[in-house]
Amino acid sequence: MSIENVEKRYGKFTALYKMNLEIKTGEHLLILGPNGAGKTTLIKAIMGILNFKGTIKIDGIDVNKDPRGAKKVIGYVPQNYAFYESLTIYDHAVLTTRLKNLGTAQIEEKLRLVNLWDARTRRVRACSDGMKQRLGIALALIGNPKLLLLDEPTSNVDLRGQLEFQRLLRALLKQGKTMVTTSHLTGLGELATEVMVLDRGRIVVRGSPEELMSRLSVNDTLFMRVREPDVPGVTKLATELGAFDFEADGEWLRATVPSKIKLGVVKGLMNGPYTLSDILIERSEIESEYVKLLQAGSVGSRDPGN
Amino acid sequence: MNALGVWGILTFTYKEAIRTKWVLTFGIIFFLLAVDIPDLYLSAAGNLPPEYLAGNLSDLLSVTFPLIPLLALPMGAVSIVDERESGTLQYLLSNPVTKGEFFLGRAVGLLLATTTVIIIGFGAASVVVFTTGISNYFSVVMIMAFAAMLNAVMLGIALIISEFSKRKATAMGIGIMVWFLFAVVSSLDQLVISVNLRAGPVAALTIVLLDPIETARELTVYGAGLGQGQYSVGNLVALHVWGNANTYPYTFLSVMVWIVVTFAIGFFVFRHQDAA
Repeated sequence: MSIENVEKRYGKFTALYKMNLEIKTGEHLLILGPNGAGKTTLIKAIMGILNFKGTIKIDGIDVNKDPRGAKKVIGYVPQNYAFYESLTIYDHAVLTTRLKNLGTAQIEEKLRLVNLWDARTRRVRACSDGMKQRLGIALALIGNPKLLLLDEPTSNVDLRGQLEFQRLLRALLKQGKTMVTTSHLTGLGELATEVMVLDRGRIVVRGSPEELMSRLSVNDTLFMRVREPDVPGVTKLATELGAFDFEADGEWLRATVPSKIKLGVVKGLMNGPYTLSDILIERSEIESEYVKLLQAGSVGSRDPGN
Repeated sequence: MNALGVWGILTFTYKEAIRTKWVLTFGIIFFLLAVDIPDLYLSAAGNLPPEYLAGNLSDLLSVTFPLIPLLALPMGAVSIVDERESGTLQYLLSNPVTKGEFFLGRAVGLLLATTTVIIIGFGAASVVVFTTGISNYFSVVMIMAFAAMLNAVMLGIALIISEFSKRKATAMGIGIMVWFLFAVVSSLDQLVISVNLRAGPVAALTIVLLDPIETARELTVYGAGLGQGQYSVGNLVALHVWGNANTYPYTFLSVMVWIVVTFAIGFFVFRHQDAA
């Protein structure tokens, strides 16, 4: 997919500003950004349901010139699982096959893939958010599209649903599907081959997850279980090793530690004179770090491509 | 053209619309109005007046025509904006159907659903009336046909309202307001007389033609053969301007223009605006 000089305005508000982007087959682009950054607008533009300036080509097909042709290679998983409450899971699948000008032969395979075949007679209003999310994926996969667009796919789903979703995503990536996922805050960073951060319609930063993490001075959180008399000593030692921002809560001591030196800090603490009965590290996620920085206004135009 | 996609949207729209309580309520209301219960009592007692059918049909015309817009206006006015608000429009249009094909499926689905209600409501009533021994079935069929045409005009207007509305509640409010405007303005007699006196019959006729309810009512008076007793000032102005021979076809044409123009505007606007 190639995006060239794409621009979208709503009156004086610029939703997308001269965007240029290329996604190769088999890549998974994760688009991050706060609400109103332009993520969903970009997805709508790719689907050709918005009028915009510039050119978007999918598999060589110009979205503006041949919207039907372009949409044949797109599978879309909607935000907030926008389905018809009164229809059953199977009804939705039939409607989708008609819209895609296909027979109903694929329905069983796709519903089985997301474990919804046995629940096919259930109306959407009786489905959990996780089921709706899986239904969205099944419908998007009907017709075997080359490109999957996932708009905030985990925004309303519980932890179990998110893990199930990640499992599905991994399987689809293995099949070589190209994917574009938008998120304002999710745990999908590790599944992406490329991450792009949008803010006010502009690409703020873009690169591989590893590249972007290394460019950030990301902090992790360290939890240490220590005896109460040892808290001052452990705090002093950890401070010398580079940790900061301490907070004691019962027998747990919490500290912030720069991601790059966290293993050194743990090693130093283990070799020290104090007894630590447990240590936990809570890793920062790339998306939450970037969103935090965006909110603080400290991410400038650091995008190597723009 | 993705005919299967259009068919999918059309059938889905029809089934959803026909299931709503609003539509069912209207079917029953039309039936009760058209069946004319007091006259049925008289018929059962063998006391039907000689001018029964003419009276029945003119009652039907004056009572039901102002109500017909209330079927299509609210339903059509929310149809597109509701899909936009809920995000389902985005889901539908992410598939290989164009905006024009979506509009076609949606408009025809709604048109068929609302027309079904009119036909079932009036049709069931006319069967009842017919079995009481009244043989002039043609007039009832013509009233149904012209009611369906008025319904189509209102649906076209409603879809335009839906396209320009940002919220479902706003669209519904505008739809009801438009009905109120037409239903109140449909009593045009005084206005038409004044305009006729000041600016002449052509200007007066223009005023009449700008009101689709009045135009459809006049068409029904001619088409169903309800007689001169049912003529309004608008009918008389039309007869004066167009003459006896031309008034019926020209009035028919005027209602058709309303249908074609409203649907064409709806189609054009939807194709060129952001769909979601």
